[in-house]
Amino acid sequence: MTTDDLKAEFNKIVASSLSLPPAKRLDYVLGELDKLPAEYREFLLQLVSTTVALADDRTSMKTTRNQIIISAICLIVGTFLAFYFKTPTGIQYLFIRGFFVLGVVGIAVAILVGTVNLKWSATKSLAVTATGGFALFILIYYLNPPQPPDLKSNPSQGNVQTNTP
Amino acid sequence: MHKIEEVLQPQPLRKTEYSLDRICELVEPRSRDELILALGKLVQSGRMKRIIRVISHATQGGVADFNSLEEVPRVIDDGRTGLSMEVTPNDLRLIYVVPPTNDNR
Repeated sequence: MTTDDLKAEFNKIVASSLSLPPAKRLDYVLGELDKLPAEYREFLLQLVSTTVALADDRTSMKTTRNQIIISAICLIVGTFLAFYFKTPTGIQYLFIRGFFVLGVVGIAVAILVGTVNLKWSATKSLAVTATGGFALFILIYYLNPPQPPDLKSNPSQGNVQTNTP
Repeated sequence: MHKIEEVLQPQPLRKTEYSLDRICELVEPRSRDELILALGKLVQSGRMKRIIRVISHATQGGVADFNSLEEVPRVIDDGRTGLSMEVTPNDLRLIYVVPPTNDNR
């Protein structure tokens, strides 16, 4: 194969793939490249992928959708348990908080773009470095929720609504 | 994608060049094809550039860089040896270029 042959193959693949809908381009390109000598396949794939939008978002979209569904279930379970157990035991509190944070972090990671880097010193001898979803998990788990007001011991304060005219 | 972006962080004041093999060493992807597709997205989004480099037969060093395959000539002067060489597909390398952080292009 000469450089001119390579150019011809490249132009043919680019032109044909541009005539296809984005979701079908990748399969077409990979199929065409598999017909070529193996030593040129990777070079041409690099060239084509930097020239044509080979949107292979099907897998990532499916993964993101599943992640959102699972996270939403965790969030719903956590919220339900939080209201179901009026005075949760220690282990119940741990699970409620875990479900809630997993739900929030899962949805946040699926929706938001970017990375979070966290360097957190739990104690003098224990330091945690985390990135991405795990960093968010630690942040939310340990920084949220804030201490709630003690409504039971002091009923005169808090969200008490009165229907005075 | 996040891992690629972390590894290929722009450096201050100087552009950085990577071959696919070098990026593979740094990123350790599950598959090279997936990495190529992710790099393609980065190039198309403008976060990095790609050039086509012609490699010298004699020295294996770069002879010239081109922005597209169309620009690559059939014959090129190898400045390192002073000889002309016929460019074959085996002499072509695709190089990814990360612009410096102060690049305002």
